[in-house]
This record gives sequence, structure tokens and C-alpha cells, in this order.
Amino acid sequence: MRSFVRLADRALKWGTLLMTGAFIGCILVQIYARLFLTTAPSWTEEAARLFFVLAIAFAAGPALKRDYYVYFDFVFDRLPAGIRRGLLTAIDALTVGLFVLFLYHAFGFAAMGLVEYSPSMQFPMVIAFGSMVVLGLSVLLYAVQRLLARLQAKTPRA
Amino acid sequence: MIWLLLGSFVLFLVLRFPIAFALGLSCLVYLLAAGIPLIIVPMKLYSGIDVFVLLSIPGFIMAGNLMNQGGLTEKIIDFCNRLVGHIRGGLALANIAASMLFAGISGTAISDTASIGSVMIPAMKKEGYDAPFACAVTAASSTVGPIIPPSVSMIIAATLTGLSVGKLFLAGAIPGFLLGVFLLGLTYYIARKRQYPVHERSSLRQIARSFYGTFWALLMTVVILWGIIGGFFTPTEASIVAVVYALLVGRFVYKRLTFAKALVTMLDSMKTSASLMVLIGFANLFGWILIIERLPQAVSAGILGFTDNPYVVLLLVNLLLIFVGTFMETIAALLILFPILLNVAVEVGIDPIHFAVVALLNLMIGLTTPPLGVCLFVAAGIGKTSIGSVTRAGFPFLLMSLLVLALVTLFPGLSLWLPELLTD
Repeated sequence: MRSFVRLADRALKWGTLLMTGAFIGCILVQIYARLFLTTAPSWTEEAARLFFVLAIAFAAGPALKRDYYVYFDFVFDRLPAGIRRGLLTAIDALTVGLFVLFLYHAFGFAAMGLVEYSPSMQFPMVIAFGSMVVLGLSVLLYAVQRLLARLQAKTPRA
Repeated sequence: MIWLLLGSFVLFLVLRFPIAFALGLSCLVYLLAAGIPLIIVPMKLYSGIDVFVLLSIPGFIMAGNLMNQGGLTEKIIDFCNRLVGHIRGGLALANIAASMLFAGISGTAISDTASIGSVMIPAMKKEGYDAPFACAVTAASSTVGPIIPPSVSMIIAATLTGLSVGKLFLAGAIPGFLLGVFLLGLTYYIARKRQYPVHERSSLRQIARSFYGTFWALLMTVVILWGIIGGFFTPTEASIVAVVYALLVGRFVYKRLTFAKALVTMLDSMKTSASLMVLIGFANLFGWILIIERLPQAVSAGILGFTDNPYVVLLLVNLLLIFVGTFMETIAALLILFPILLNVAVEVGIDPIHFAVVALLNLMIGLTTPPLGVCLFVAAGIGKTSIGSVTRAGFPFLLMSLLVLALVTLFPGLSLWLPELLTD
């Protein structure tokens, strides 16, 4: 499990960086073309959006791992330690549940893109809609890891 | 049915679920109960983030973080200290001035509190300022940031409603500046009363040298605004220009930015952006459910049935948003409430740009309003002092912010004059 997570860490990191570089590149081409060429290519905006959504999909999981999702803890901080521990486990379990359902339906959504094509670049929309599968997998991976870590911390060793 | 959605959302929120997932789970509860196919969840999340102008959010976050790699926070603080340090309470004044300058770089209040506060609060304590005051000044001044452009919250407000990002940026400039000046005035008054320390006056050469350190960062804000207002770039393009600019300045001017550091910063910025985008995506689904449940119309009818006086409507909206802003993260509150309330505002003839500035100012003030103002908590954490004492010390600043809110609410010209002057 540990080496799988390490591999996924690396894949998500480089996926995020490559997609980020790609959307920055597309927008720079757009700026250059509009300011210095007579006509600006029509594909830059569409490509930038595609790379951006993919970059977000790759980064969504690592954001969970690093606790970047904001929450409201005013009530939580005033609860007894035992209840807090139980709640954290419940939060992780429900997050896993949410993203299992999300991932299942993301496959269906991606499949809808098999017969659709993007307006200007004419690529199959399964590539764009598939970003939701990546997002689901990315978040689910770290949600499961957190849940397992919490459950293992609770279970005393034999 | 709508109560199931709203009730479960509040429950998940209070139980410390990340706000994005609280939105997602409450939508899931509603969709399962209503028998709506769950494929709508990825569809709405995708359509919520597949918006060109949203690309500017990681752009501005990244540009700010890259600039900070060059020690920008310290440079801005040093410059402000050189400029106003010789006045009584100079360090507190520098704290507010730094927030006003830093506003153009960061764009979120909580990050301003954390970054400026981590330098300024210990420094102020060391100089003899009492800790609650140091924390209160930092928390209050950091709310100026998201009003002065560029602002992530304004980009989101514009995306939700189709308002012009450029006009919104310009509309926030005078109210943000006004808030900063009022806070400076109050701080000076308190500093004189409590005999807070004074620094030696800096020479012109020292001020000039310190200005050079911040010049490149301030120029970035000028380039962004000039590019957008002048019609050279769209907000998204301006944010990417800012990223390239920050990379060049960090590498060749500040000489602190290595390739490895740049990659780490970009990755970090994308994680922050991803957490925001998942929030925006789920809020898109949440908003869609509110629309099919006709909640905006119900709220609109409820308020308009009570009054159609624009000032009373603004007063009600102010009260609601300050209340919500005390416990809910600005962007989440904006995503859920802004489109609904804008509907009501437009019905009674309030200019949408004016309304957007008022709404944002409210949510910012909420961040420093007891008992749950998030900026107060962040500042109290840095200052290692009790939240109660920071809240008490922050009360005069809260009153001052409310005064500015009243002025901006009553005089639309404060937010509309600049966009009308500089745009078509």
C-alpha cells in the first residue's frame, strides 16, 4: 500500500505540474497571438480550460492529504476528545462514501463524452469529462489512506 | 425537501466536515431523497470549474506565492516601517499600510493575517505593544486585502453573476483605500492615547532603498490593473502575465527563486486552488438545487414582500452577510448567497457592482466579528493570546469597519465612480 501511495503521489505531482505548465503555455500563446499576430488561434481557450480542469483534478487529492480544504471548527474544538476522535473517523468515512459514489458516476459522465467532440479542437469530450474520474480517484486515494490510518491508530496491536 | 439540503449542510458544517465536502454530502442527501440521478454530481462539478475566468485564481495565487519566495512580506513591512515608523504607533501603522500594499499580491484576508501577522505580531509585542492590540490591528487590517484589487473573491463573484471582473476590481479600490485610511486614523488615535513607541525617522536614502525592494511587487499590481483596464489582457491573461513576471523578478531581481523552489511553489498554489475549485464545483451543484427548489425567488419574494426600499434591503443584506461571514468561509458564503441576494438587489434597483462591493465588505467584516471571526482566531493563535482579549481589543476596529460599510452602502458613488470613469 505504501509504495502504491508513493507512486500515486509522484504521478499526481507531475500530472499537476505538467497540466499547469500546459495551461500557462496556452494562455501565453493566446496573449502573444492577440498582441503580435493578425489572428489569434481559436483553440487556446479550449485547451487552457482542458489542462486547467485536469490540473485541478490531479491536485485535488494531494490538497486533501495536506489538509488544504477549509473547515469550521468552532463547535468541534469544544467537544470532548473521545467524541472528536469519533467524529474525525466519521468525517473520513463519509468522505470516502461521497467520493466512491462520485467516482462511480464520473465513469458514466466520462462515457457520455465518447460521442461528443469539443467545438474548436474536435477532440472527444471523454478526455475532458474523464478529468472527473481523475479527480474522484485522486481524492479517494487520500481519503481512504486517512481513514485507514485513523482506524489503525484506534486498533491496539495484538 | 429544501430543508433537508440546508439542514444537512449546516449539520455537516458544524461537525467540522471540510466545507466543500459538506456541500457535496448535503447535495447527495437531497438527490437521494428526491430520486434525482447522481450523475448530476460530476456533471455539475465539471461545469462549475470549466470556466475560463476561473483560471485566473491559480494564476493570482501562484504569482503571490512566487513573489513571497523573494521575501516580499518582510520587504513590504520594512518599507512601510521606514515610511511611517517615526509616527507614534508606527509599527501598528506599518502593519495596516503593509496590508494595503500586500492586498494587491495576495487577495485573501486569512492569508494576509497569517503572513503579515507572523512577522508583525511578534515584532509589535517585542516593542511593547500589548498582544491583544497587535493581534486586533493585524486581523482588522487584513480585511482590506480582498477589497483592494486584485481579489480572488471578486473574480468568483464576477464568475457567478456575469459581472465584469475589471469593473469589480476598480469598484473595490476606493472602499478598500477608505477602510485602510480609517483604520490608520483609529490606530494613530489609540497609539497616542497609550503612548506606544516611536521609531527614529528614516532618511530619504533609506526610504528609497527600502522602496526598491517593494517596487517590483507593487509594479505587478500596476501591470495587472493597467492590462485589464487598458483592454490589453483579460483577467485570466493578466494573472498568467503576473505569474511570468513573478518568476522573472524572483529569479533575476530578488535572486532567491531557484527552479526547484518555483516548482514547489507552483504545486503548492495548485493544491490551494484545487481545494477552492472543488468547493466551487460542489457549490455549483448546491446552487443548481436551490434554483430547482426556487429558493432565490422565495427569498426575493420574502424580502420584497417586506419592503422595496433599496436602503432597507441593503440593511437587511448587511445584517445577514455579517452574521454569515462570522462563521462561514468567505468564498463559500459568496458562492451560496451572492447570486440569490443579487437577484433581490437588482429587483429594487441597486447597481450590481455596488452591491457586489457591499456584499464583499460585509463578508470581510464578518471575518473579524466575534464570536467566530476567523481572522481573530488566526491572529490570536500567532500572538499566543486569548481570543476574548483580541475580540475586546478589536471592538473599536470593528466599529470603524462598520462605519466604512455604512458609507459604502449609503454612497454608491464610492464604488461606482472609478469604474464609470475608467471603463466604457
